[in-house]
Order: sequence, then C-alpha cells, then structure tokens
Amino acid sequence: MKSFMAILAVTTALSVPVLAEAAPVTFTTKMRNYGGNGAYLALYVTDARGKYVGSLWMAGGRTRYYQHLMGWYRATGGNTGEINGITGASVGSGRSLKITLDLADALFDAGYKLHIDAAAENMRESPNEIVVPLTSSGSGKAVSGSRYIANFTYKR
Amino acid sequence: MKSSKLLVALSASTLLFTAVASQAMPIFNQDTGASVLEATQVGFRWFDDDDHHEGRGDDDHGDDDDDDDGGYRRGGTVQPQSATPPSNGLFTPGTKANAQMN
Repeated sequence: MKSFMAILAVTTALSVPVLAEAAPVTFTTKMRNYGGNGAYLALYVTDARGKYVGSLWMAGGRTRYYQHLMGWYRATGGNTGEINGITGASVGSGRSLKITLDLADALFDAGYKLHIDAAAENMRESPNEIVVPLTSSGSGKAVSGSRYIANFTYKR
Repeated sequence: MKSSKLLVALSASTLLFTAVASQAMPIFNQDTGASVLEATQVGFRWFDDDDHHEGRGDDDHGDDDDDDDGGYRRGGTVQPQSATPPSNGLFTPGTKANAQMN
C-alpha cells in the first residue's frame, strides 16, 4: 500500500507540472471566396529573432507543392519530417479550418510569432499572409489576411 | 543543259513549297498563339514539375496522378483528423493534433 501511494505521489508530481505548462489552443482560419482550387497553408512558429522554431500544421498533402509555401519552405528546406502527423487536406475557397493543438504555455508572451503561408494552384503565392505574435492578449482577436485568408484567430 | 533544267525545276519547286508553307504558317501560328496566350493568362504554372515524380522516377507510382488530397472537393464537413504531432518542442508530448474543416 505504501509503495502504491509513493508511486501515485510521484506520478502526480510529474504530471501536474506538465498539465500546468500546456493548454489546448484552437486556431481557426477562414478562407476568402477567392474562387480557385483548395489552398495549401503552412502554419509555423518563429522565435523573437525570427528564427524558425517548428511547424504547427500543414494543410495540403502533396509534397511537391510545398515549395510554393515560400517562407516555410525556405525555413525547412521542405523537410516533411517537420510536419509528420500534422498534415491535413488543403482548404477550399470559402471554407474554414479549425485546428486544436496542445501547446506549451512557454510559447505565449515570449516573442514567438505564428506565420501562415498560403498558395493555391495557378494563383499567386502568399508567404507570411498572416504573421501574428502569440500573446495572451491576442487570444480570440481576429486578424485579416491579405489574399486567401479572410481572417484568422487563435484561442487558448 | 540537262543539269540547268534540273536546277530550274528544283528552284521552282522550292519557290512553290515556300509559298505553300507561308500560307500554312498562320494556321500553325494560331495554335501556338493560343498556347502562349494560355500560358500568359495563367501567369505561371503552379505545378510546373508535374513530370517529376518524387523519388520514384517516371514510373507513375508516385502521388502525381491524383491531385485530390481529400479535402475541399468532396463537399460538406470534412471528417476531423487526429494525429500525433512531431517532437519539435511546441507540442505537449503524447497529445494529438485535431483538425476539422467546414
């Protein structure tokens, strides 16, 4: 019984800090009615110095098109290892993509920025269509895109 | 004498061929013009490298034949996708990413 309690105490002590340091964050991207084929989107994070940190999501499954997501491609060299398990379908004109991720709290209010590159077939590429600082105060506030994205919000 | 007749005949046939070819050229040009116009309207082809199959040569076993990535074309709500994200320090280890398209 004592050993059970000890194990329980240890696992609780280990798990509570993890829970305290992470929270689900929902990213909602609403596309404009731009009239073309489904758009490829790359969501990725840079640090305060603008250095690529990691990817959060890739909308679009054909790797040969990733070169058109220019900011992401430049940062990663098109390495698909960066997006294993976080790749979904491209997003059609007028549709919205809602992604929920458990992210480390340390990403917020620490100078990190979320970038979204967008591109659609036979239409112009739109690197950094969205660039938004990840802050607590920015949660729930809509940001407008310039070409394909009508608006974008993240919510903690 | 014989060779000069042959030369005249050759010159005449060359002239005739040139005349016919010059008449045919506009028709050929129209086709080419359409292609050029199409390329200009498009601006640039997004998928210029369609002939390049990813690491598989030209054996048509790659993913190039079907550009449908399962998303927007099917209409309605796309089924939620749940997957394990990479260990890049952004995600809580062991959690799953969830995406939904409407």
